[in-house]
Amino acid sequence: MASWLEAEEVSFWRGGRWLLQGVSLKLSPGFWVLLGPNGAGKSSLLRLLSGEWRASRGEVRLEGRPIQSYPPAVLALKRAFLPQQRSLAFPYTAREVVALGRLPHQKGREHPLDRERIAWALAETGASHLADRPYLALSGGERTRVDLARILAQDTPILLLDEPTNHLDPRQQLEVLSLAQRLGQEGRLVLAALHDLSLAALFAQRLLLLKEGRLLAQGEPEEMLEPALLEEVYGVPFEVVAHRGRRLVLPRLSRPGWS
Amino acid sequence: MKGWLFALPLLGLALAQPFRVTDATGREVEVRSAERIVSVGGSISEILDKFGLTERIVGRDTGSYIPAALLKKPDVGLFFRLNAEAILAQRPTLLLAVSEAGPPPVLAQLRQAGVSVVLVPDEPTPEGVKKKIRTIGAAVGQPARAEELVRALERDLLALRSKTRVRRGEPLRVLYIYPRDPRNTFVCGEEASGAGLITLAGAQNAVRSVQGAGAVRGCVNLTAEAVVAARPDAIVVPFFPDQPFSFENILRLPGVAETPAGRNRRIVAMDVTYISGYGYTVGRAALELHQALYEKTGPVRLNHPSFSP
Amino acid sequence: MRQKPFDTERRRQGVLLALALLLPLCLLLGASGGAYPIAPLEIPRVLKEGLEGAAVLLNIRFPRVLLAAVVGGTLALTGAALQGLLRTPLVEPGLLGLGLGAAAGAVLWLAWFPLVPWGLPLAAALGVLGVLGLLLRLAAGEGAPAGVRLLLLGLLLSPILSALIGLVQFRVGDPQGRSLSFWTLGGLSGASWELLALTAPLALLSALALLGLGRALNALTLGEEEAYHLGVAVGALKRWGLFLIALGVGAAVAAAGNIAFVGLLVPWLLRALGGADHRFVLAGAWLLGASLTVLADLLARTLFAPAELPLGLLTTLLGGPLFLFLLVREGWRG
Repeated sequence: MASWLEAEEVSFWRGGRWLLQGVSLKLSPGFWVLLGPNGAGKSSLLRLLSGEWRASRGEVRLEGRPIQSYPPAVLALKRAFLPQQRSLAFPYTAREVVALGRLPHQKGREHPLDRERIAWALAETGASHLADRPYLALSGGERTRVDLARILAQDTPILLLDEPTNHLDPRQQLEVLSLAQRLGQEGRLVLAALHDLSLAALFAQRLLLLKEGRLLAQGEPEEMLEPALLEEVYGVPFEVVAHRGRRLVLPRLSRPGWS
Repeated sequence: MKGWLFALPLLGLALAQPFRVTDATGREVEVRSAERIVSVGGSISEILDKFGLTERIVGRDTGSYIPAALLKKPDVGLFFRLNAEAILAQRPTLLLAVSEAGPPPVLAQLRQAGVSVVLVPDEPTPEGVKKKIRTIGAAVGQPARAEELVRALERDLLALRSKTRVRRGEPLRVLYIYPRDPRNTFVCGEEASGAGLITLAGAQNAVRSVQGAGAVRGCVNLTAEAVVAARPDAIVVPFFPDQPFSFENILRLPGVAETPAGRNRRIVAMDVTYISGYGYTVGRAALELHQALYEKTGPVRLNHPSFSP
Repeated sequence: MRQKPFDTERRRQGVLLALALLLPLCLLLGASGGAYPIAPLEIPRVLKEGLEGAAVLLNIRFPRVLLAAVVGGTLALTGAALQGLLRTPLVEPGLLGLGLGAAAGAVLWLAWFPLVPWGLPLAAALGVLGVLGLLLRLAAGEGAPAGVRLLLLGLLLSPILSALIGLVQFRVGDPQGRSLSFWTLGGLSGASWELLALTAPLALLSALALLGLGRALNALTLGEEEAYHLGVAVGALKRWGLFLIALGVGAAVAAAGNIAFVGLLVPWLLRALGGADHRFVLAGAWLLGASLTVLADLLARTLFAPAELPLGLLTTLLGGPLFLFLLVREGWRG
């Protein structure tokens, strides 16, 4: 059987340079985390995998077929996408924003199932109490949760999340990542771009390490969180310490301040 | 010495000028020479033609097309939007213009440039026309011809009065429409010069009876319903000889089709200079309009007696 | 908590129902007022007996009131749809110069084909499309918020278009003698059954099709990428939507010239009444735009009766200051 979502030798050219070069990967259900420094190409890879951008070379395939061959309406039933930057042109309430996630499923009027799904999504992201507030009046963290709820309401087997923990406090970060983990365990494919290595190690089933547009390595967190590998990716020395059976990743400070 | 004597008659001519004339603003204007005239106002041009001075006209406003020979002379703009340079380029000695001519700064520039500017009185009444004829006569040094023309006008007015006086009963209700925009019926009250001829011709202006906050002074866009409410028996419109004119377009104006005039196609279209110029032909114009209104049926077109397009 | 969505839904249905009832009321009011005195209760008798009043009602007032509704509904709806497509509440056909684009198209058509009236709304629609294309090309890129940029470009384009219209009328002349001011400050004085027949099919067609875009426009509120991820074919939506808007604006402007601010204020009022869901705003905009325009036209033809004000002058005088007030109060978001 073809894998759910795969990239074969994908390269992407924009703005006079290669943002991605020769990336190949096969994604199956589970919680995947994409790591790499800023500018490594994480967001670009997510947009290519979502079908929004077309690879300059190579091909992204969804269930074995080129992703560009799907009409947007069909694609929206298969994958949801949480972008890093979000805007809203009109004063919708949080619930209305979440309800937009149901759009791909609706033909005409709202169905009772839609309402159930919206309520469920709001509850899962701890945003139920925000439902009737105007979205534009919410704080950054609150907006992130409402947008996550929208992605959940879309109810797709594949979820692509670009930095879903932005603006969240530590507790909310944990909640969001454990939700992502649970969704992965329930048989969905969740791919999130993250910055926090320790959190990634804590929740992800598999890690993808990206550097300067190339996929450097992928595998279990145990194999990936090696100081040498991380130093190669981020250009900073790291220490990995085992603490009560879990791995914590810390930068090794050879000098105080910026190096 | 002999040559000097020989020049005496010429000197006499030169002494005959300058003429002095009091213009519409009450100012006394000295006309040193009436050799090169710019004529602004269709009625002034036709009077100059009647005096036999068309040759001396070196420029004219857009509305001066009678006699047709004027069409070959330089056009210096609409009477209210004159162009000083276009006028000065003709090196005129005298500007004869209707009293509303302007803009005033242009007139001031012309005076500064040494042109004698005579604003001719232009009241839309028979008496006003006589004054107009006499002022022009004085400005060009033709007072005798002016009196001749005034007498002819008086004969026309007498003929008109003999017609209108015998008419009995309620005068005809007439709407004066100035055709501009096809989606608006632009109607003029009695003060407007063209509409004034209606009263002179023994009919009444129908717009007088339409009540409302915006009583009609001058010309306004009348709503279609007010056009119907005015119940005109006939409609009078000016036409411009240089522009296409059709009675059908008048019948299509908002509200017109629903009036008695519209139903009976009682429309009198009249040359714009003839109806609103108030020139020496005003008596004949009113008489012709009277006959068109009272003695004819259907659409009537009245050309200017000395201009047929 | 679970009751809330039903409340919003019910509120919107209530507003739409009220607007649906308001429209016939306004039509009736519009049909019973005018310079020709006919008492509202006399209308049936006057019609039955076929008096002069009947001709006024049938040939003058009814087509005018209906045209006001069609033109007003179209302008308000296209305004709402344009705001949704361009993702800013600051735009409307008039302010962006689309109305003048339509006028330019119409003037050019009249210059070359003065005797083919059915082409007029289509030529006007082409004019709108031309201006839209130019606007979107010029507004592309980063910098000030899209709404502010579009507004600014529209305001810069407007005098250019006015001058173009003036030039055509100066050089070629409009055989029907329409003045530049007819196009800039429009009105319904030319209403007739023929004009209604020429205008209504295109305007209503565009309106019906636009009403179907509500859900997609809701998705577009999140941004073009987001709308794509929600299954909306954004490119096709924008092309189709702008085409329909051009059709509607073209038909309305060819019939009545520019009637400003209807397309701006009506959607704004609806959002204040029942939120920003486009399915609600679009349907409500047509109804409210139609009603308000019928009332405004009633004012235009009775305020200074027997003379008549251009309707566009009235809507600008009423709507312009209100827009300024909103702009200052709501801030320059967009």
